[in-house]
Amino acid sequence: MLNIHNLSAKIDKKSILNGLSLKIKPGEVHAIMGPNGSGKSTLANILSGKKGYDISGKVSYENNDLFNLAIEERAHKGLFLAFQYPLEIPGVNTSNFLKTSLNAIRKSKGQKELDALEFLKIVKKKASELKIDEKILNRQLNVGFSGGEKKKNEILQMSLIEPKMAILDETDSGLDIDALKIVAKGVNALRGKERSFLIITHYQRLLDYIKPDFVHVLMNGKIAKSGCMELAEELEKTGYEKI
Amino acid sequence: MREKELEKLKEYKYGFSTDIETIKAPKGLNEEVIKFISKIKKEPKWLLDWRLKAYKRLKVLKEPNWQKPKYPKINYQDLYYYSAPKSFKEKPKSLDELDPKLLETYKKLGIPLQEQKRLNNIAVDAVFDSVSVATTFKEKLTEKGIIFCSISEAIQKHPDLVKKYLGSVIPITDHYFATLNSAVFTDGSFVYIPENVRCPMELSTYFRINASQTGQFERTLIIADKGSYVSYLEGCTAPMRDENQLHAANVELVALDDAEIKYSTVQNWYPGDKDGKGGIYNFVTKRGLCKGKNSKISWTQVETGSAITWKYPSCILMGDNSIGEFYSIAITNNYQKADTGTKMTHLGKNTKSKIISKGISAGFADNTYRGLVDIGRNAINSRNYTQCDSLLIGNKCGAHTVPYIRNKNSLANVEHEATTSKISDEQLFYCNQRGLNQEEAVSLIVNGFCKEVLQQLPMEFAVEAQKLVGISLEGSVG
Amino acid sequence: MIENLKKTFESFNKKFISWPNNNRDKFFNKFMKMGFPNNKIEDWKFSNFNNFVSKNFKSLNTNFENLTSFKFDKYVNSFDHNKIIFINGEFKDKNFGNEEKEKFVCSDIKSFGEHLRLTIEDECENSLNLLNNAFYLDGLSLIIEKEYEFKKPLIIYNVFKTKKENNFFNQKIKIKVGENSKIDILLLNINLGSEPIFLNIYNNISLKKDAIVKLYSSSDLGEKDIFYNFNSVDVLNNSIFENFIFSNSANFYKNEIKCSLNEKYSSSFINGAIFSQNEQTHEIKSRIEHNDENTKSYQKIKSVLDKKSKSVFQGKIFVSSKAQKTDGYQLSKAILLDKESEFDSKPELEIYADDVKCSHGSTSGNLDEDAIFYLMSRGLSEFEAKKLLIKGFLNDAVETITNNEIRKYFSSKIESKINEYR
Repeated sequence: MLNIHNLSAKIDKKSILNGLSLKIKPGEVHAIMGPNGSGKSTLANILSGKKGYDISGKVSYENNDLFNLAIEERAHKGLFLAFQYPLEIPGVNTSNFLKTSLNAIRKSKGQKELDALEFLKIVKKKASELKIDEKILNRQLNVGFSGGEKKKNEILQMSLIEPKMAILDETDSGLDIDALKIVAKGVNALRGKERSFLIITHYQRLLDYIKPDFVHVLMNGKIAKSGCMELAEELEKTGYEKI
Repeated sequence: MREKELEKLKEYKYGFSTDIETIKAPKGLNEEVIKFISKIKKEPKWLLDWRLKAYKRLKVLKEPNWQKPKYPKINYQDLYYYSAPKSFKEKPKSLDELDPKLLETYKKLGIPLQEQKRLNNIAVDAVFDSVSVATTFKEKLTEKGIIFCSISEAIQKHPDLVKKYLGSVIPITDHYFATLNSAVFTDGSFVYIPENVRCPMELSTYFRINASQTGQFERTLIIADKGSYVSYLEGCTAPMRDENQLHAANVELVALDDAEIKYSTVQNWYPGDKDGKGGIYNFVTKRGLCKGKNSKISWTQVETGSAITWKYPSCILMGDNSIGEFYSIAITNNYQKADTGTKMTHLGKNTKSKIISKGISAGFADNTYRGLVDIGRNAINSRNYTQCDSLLIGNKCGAHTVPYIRNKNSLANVEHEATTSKISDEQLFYCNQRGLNQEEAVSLIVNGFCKEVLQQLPMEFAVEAQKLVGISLEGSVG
Repeated sequence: MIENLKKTFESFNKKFISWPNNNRDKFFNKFMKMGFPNNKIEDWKFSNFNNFVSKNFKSLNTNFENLTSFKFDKYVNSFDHNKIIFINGEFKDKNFGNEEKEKFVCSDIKSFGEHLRLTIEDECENSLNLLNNAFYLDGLSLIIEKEYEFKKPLIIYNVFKTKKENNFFNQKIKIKVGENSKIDILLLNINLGSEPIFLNIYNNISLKKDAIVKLYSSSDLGEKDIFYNFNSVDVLNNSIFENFIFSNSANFYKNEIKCSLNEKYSSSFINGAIFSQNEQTHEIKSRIEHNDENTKSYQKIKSVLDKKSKSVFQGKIFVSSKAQKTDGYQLSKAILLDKESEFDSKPELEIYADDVKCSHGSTSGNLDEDAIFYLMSRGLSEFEAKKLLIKGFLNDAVETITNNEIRKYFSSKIESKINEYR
């Protein structure tokens, strides 16, 4: 599904990623852990197409050269990033935004665009499944949302869009245990043979609920160690210094 | 060549022109032309005298030059001041007599005039160049005593009302373009809502400039008698021509005791091409008088067209407890220029005004909010709240905020706020990541920025306006 | 008035006729074409200056021979300071205590060499600047070397006590501050006499890289005095200009400032408190030009108006297309205490760059009834409650002063003005 080969990235001549390689197959859930500044968010941003990085290396996504695809094309092809800091867009109704986004993606796949009623039915169902208060749908996109509400909104978007490859950038940070469960529920509900996840996190906490297939430690812009769930538990005990 | 034209039409879909035979007044501006207009419209003598008085005044007035957009000198002698479809020597009595070409034109503009295809619950007066061609739903309105017709017809059929109110809000001596309009105005709409009548449908006028080298000088007069309510919409388009065309309209609103007028405009005159060639000069005077106590006048405008827009829909709050509102979106792209805003003149006690202005500039455009809030000595307990927000897209354009605030009353409160912002790269990235392309993302964000104003528009118009907001900014990012 | 001014000029100019390239007459002739500003001119829209001149003066005279001199020592006792004293427009004395004398040059303008005098004329933004160029009598030139921080603030005492035949004073203050140097200045304009004066000062201040200038201004002028103060300020890389104006006296007082933030990371702070009474008119007009990236400007003007007075704030933030990441803020608030006062404002933005943060706000209204009620319920009389609220309202602007001694000076000055208030 996603094949990252020898990826390096610089910003303002400062090196952030140094030859990172990672393969994610359909149906796999990978977790990337690492200390602050190890390049976790940079990886997520580059995969989804944020500009401003000086990049070398290769990333293929479903046999496409990822770097040849525009940001929205990546989204159309099923790549989803749950932002660490979801943006506030004043005046834009959340439900309207979700509908526009979903329809843009459906359109690109040649599917019928949903009308307001059809959409509302789906979004309300998803929201109640995730125990997200549907009131947020009528508020301005992320404006005045608490940290938890913003993250829940990201998960709601993810379950609506049903991406093939979802990247969660520190979606768990700053969440209380209930919100954390919502996030995990959102991910677990989508888990399937054709769908992969890359979960970026600082703590083991979220992984307890998601149970990834693989855990990687990112340090100094590279994968320093890979393993399975035990690695995450080990890190929680001993910290990153030992690696 | 044809393809090039078609290409251009994609950018401005109303840019086609209608091939129709016209009657024109002789080119140029002089007493003879004014007499010609007055004669062809079979006007009473008092109106001709009124026009001539305005013309006399015009000769001593100078064109204003304080506004920000500058434009090449207009040769007023090189314009036609009257142009009407030839079939219009007599106004057709019914749509069956109307030139099929005209019906076709309005259909193309999305304003079907025929009975069976009419827009739901909107009565339309269609003005083509200098004349009103058709008014729909007339009978239904007449039942309630509402008068909705062309101003020419009103001059014939309701001379007392016209005589009483014409020029009562914008005097013929007002300023250059208003005075020019008074001298040469050709047609426009007239509305009278009788006492305690709530107009059951939206009234709408659709203005279309077709002929070349023709100025459009329409005049609209709306009177809401005691306790009445009316919502009025105005839309406008013009063909794409390389020359600049002048549009200098006057709109007068009068609200008596407890009456309310809601006036909405979606202005989409041809803005000129990407290099700033052609387009309409939209120099319009709009003024409302809250004459009676508890009266209310609310202006909402979405200005996306015209090469130069220069207008300040204003309210004179004369009656105690009267309310004036101004909601505006002005979008300028390429080489468009807009200098727009409002004047709120508080004279009565407990008068309130609210101004929400959203200016968006892109390309090489210039966008100015200019406004006056004037609280008079006697306007005790009056309130004003003003909010002006500007959004810039790119750094070749300009955004300006020029508010004048005069407060002569210690028991009045005036508040003004203004901000300038941009669409951040992060916001665009977020939208892109959710599958929206650049243009969809900009349109979404800008519509969010304009939300408070778009909400003021009647439903039928709001959807149209939202699309227009997106289209006007196409190609501005990226 | 204008005819008489011509005579005044002719006799005044005789003094300078022998100068090579004396071009005072050029400026004067240009002035004669324009006349005093009137409200047809956009920058003077809210008050007709012409009227103030004709109302308060029969004729305007500037006359060297008749200048009277008197002894003036000190006015501010609350803190130690360097001082410069002007008497009736002429530079009389300076005392810089134990500052390092080789680090700066301070001189009057009258006794400058003639070649210097020629370069002293300034750009003319309006007809009063033209008058200043035609009539300037004396002034101050202060040039500070790099790397010098003044130990104490400088107070410029500009004191007048004149006879009738001397009522028109034009001065120039030029301050150049070198790299990484710093000075705090308090300009006090005081009319001790009973005859009205028309005072016209042109300030020109330039700040090199990393310099800091704090300029504070306060006046004790007479009921019929006219005071026009024009400031042209140039700010370079990473330097800071801070300005505070307290405006309370004179019949007409206009403080105009044009501040150009010409290089990256430069900033300006322009704040003011206006307390106008007795048919006075007070105007503050600012134009802040952001001409480079990452520049910052901040303005806060608080006005209290009473007894048929008028105050005006015209503030403009201009952002050139080069000045990305500009941060511009402007706030003007006014309280009208009586029915016959008037507050006008024109807060203006002119912006040509897209990545900027600019905002302005302007409010005017009356004192908060609820607050008065609250204070009265705590035992204050209505009048005391009002005074307390006014004090708090103006103090909000005074708080912006970063020099502690001078902040205290203004704070107690405003307090005593409010205590005098009836």
